[in-house]
Amino acid sequence: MKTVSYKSVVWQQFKRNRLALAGLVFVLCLVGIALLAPWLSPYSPTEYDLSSILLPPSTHHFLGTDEEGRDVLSRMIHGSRISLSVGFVAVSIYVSIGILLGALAGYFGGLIDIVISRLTEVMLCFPTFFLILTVLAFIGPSLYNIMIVIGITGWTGIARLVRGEFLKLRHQDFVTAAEATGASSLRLIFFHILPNSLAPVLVSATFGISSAILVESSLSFLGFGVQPPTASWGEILSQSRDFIDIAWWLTFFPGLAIFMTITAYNLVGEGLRDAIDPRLKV
Amino acid sequence: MEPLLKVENLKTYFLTSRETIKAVDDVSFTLNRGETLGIVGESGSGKSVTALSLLRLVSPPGKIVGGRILFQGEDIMTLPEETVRQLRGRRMAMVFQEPMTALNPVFTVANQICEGVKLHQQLSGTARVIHPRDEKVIELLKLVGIPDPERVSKSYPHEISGGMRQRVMIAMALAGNPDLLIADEPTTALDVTIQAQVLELLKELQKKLKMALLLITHDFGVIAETVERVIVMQQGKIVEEATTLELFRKPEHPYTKKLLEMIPRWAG
Amino acid sequence: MFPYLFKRLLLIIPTFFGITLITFLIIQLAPGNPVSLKIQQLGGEGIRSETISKEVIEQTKKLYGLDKPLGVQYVLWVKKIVTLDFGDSYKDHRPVIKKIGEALPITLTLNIVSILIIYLVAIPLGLFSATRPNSRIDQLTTLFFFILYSLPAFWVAMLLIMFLGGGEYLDLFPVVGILSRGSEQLSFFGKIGNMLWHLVLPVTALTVGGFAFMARFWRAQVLEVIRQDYIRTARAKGLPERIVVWKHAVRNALIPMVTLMGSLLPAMIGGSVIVEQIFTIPGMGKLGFEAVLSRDYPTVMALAAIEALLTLVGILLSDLLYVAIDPRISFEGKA
Ligand SMILES: Nc1ncnc2c1ncn2[C@@H]1O[C@H](COP(=O)(O)OP(=O)(O)OP(=O)(O)O)[C@@H](O)[C@H]1O
Ligand SMILES: [Mg+2]
Repeated sequence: MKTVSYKSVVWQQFKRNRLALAGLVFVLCLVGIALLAPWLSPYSPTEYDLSSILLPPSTHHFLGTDEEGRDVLSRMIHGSRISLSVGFVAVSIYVSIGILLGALAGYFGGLIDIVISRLTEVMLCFPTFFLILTVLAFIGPSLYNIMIVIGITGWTGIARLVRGEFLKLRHQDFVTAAEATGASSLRLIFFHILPNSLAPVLVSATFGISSAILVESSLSFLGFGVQPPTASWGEILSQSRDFIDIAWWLTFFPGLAIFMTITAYNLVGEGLRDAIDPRLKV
Repeated sequence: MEPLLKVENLKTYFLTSRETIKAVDDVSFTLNRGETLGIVGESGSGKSVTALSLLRLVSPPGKIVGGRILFQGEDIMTLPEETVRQLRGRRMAMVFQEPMTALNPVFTVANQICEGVKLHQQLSGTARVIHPRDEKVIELLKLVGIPDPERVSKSYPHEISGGMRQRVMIAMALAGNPDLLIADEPTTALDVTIQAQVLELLKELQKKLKMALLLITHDFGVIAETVERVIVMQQGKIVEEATTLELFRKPEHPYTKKLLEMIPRWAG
Repeated sequence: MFPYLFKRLLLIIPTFFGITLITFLIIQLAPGNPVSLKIQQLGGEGIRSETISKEVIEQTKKLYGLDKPLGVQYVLWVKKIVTLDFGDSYKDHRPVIKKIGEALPITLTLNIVSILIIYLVAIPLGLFSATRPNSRIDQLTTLFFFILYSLPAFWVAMLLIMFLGGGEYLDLFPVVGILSRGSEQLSFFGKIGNMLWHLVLPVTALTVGGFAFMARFWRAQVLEVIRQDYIRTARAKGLPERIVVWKHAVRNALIPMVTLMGSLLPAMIGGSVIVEQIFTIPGMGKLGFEAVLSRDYPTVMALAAIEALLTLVGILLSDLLYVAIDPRISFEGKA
């Protein structure tokens, strides 16, 4: 009952923030586009058409065509699937890892805490992007590998956050009370403490999605993303490097899509943070 | 004789998007030169906001929406910001409730007192040669009864005790030789024994320097020992005004009676 | 102070070994055998692969210590790190440390210039905005920071090339390398000028995001400080607003900014891979990217180790700076 009212309070607050709401609507539209991609795109995203190479935007090809004659709009519509799925899956992976490690460290303390905290520190020192690049170079770039690698390198922030929340909540009355009734550690962690520490995790995860999308597009840009002919925004941008003098639309539109998606997620994240607690350091 | 301070129908509201909080609602009182006046009231009754209004230091969303504040014959409300600024510290100084947070943690005591001294010297044209600032700082610290002023002046706020910090705050307020000292719950954050010492000090200084003192508190015990006249505030309004003696003999307003009942037997 | 320093340094050791160990394992366990790659390379140079004798393979293995057990390889490698001997590059057989020695100053210059610009622009702008909270101009700058913050650096780089670097529009700035061809004949200052000219676009691309992050962080910081009681005290003293803000507020708000600087430099160096790649700047990022592409293990490992070391040094430095600028924390207290 308490959580329901808390959620509605947060939602009320969130709704008052028009920019955040706009961000949310944008994200939802994008999800719709990604789901309906095959029906929405006017052309095939992968079929070559050598009769229409590098055409500027026109009524036939709203966003122009690339050097293989493929319709940029169709490729971008399909590319949205990559960005969104990488964002969701990678962040889900690292949120799970982060919650698990953070909860263990914060709940049990002692040696477990020391080991996990050291590990977090080690991971934090890594040049993350370079690490991701290295691993991808070895295991081969593919959609799943990108998700997994971002997932297993990105958990440090969440782990620290959850650990902090657990340290704060561990000795509060409602936990002690539950403990007194003989609840097991597992029960305490997952049913009593965790639900009360999820709000900041949600905020952090929202920002995490936007940075995962950025990492994915950077990787694709460097040729370490999904492999051709599959379309992704970063990959279209990467192709455009050779035609930057003659085909501005190849550079402009995919970049704009990445930028707007990141902005939308950041707006939602900020809105959530302000609704939950403006002073949250996430 | 013209009173030092004359507040007429002061209204200070907090205008938030959802509601208007009338923190100070139609408050009037006067304070003569060298007089001591107490403002009592429970938490949230608008005492601090009244004090801040006098210095025009209410920060948004708070706003003085009406009334006049005549200080030495000038209406504070209509003066330009620059004039009010020069008045702060020099003619009207304030001591705040929380000496820990009211002092800047990253500057030494000497540095923070010096600012006031410097400002005062610049504005009053006193040559630096005659009153070297360091000496003035030590002198002020001695004035507020700090036993080892040299050491304290070189300390950072976190390095000295709460009582010492409040003395430093008072020294800072005295740096400009003010005509009116506003003390907003100066002893609330302190131990009982230190409280008595600080009150004693305030009383002494007020006599010695012939300042007027506006003492804000929620503690009638403090009032009884320090001030001549009392204003009782409730929800932004003045509900009773009397000399201290009268107030304790026969309080008129039920709210005052209630407040008086709540204090422990202070005088035995 | 020294006990504190000592303790701080001790804490760094396990972290550093954690880093080297993880890097080492990732690289070793990943498929893609360098020996086979080496053989292919030789094959490409004219020797048919079937004719390569076992001998050659063994030699290559020995050369890189790849025939030894993993544990031994790791210990050997860590030993070499301590003496800054990272071996020779698989690609061109030059000592890795030499290659890094050439690349590091370039990356450092690029990033230090960027950080300086970030701080110099973000601090006044953030302050301007924070001292007028919720005014029209504050809302506008906040929105502006927010937009910059979400701009992907590589897109900015591409747009810069397109508009200013001889793409479709203006051709004002060079987009390749850090010195023009023939610049060897220039005077010292001529060279510096030439280099700065080359740095304009890459530095802009690098600073956009960092600047927005910093301005937002700084604005929030100032807003937080401005609400504090001691600011009210300063005003009540009759200090001019200029001193209230620039002395009392800024001095306090700067504390976390300085702390941030320590982790910012390594983070930016790590993040300059793309910008260096786009502008063909021969720094650490490009070196690393190319090493990864060609599976040049010694270079990759050395870069990971050195960048992690830089991060550690950065964290250490910012800790020390923190103690130096916040009187509430003393070396004795922390030791
Ligand atoms: N920044 C603010 N925003 C909104 N309302 C405020 C703000 N500051 C004060 N108020 C309101 O003004 C009223 C008076 O506050 P004030 O601080 O003057 O009380 P007080 O009498 O000094 O209480 P205390 O004894 O606790 O110090 C309170 O009801 C409070 O809700
Ligand atoms: Mg108060």
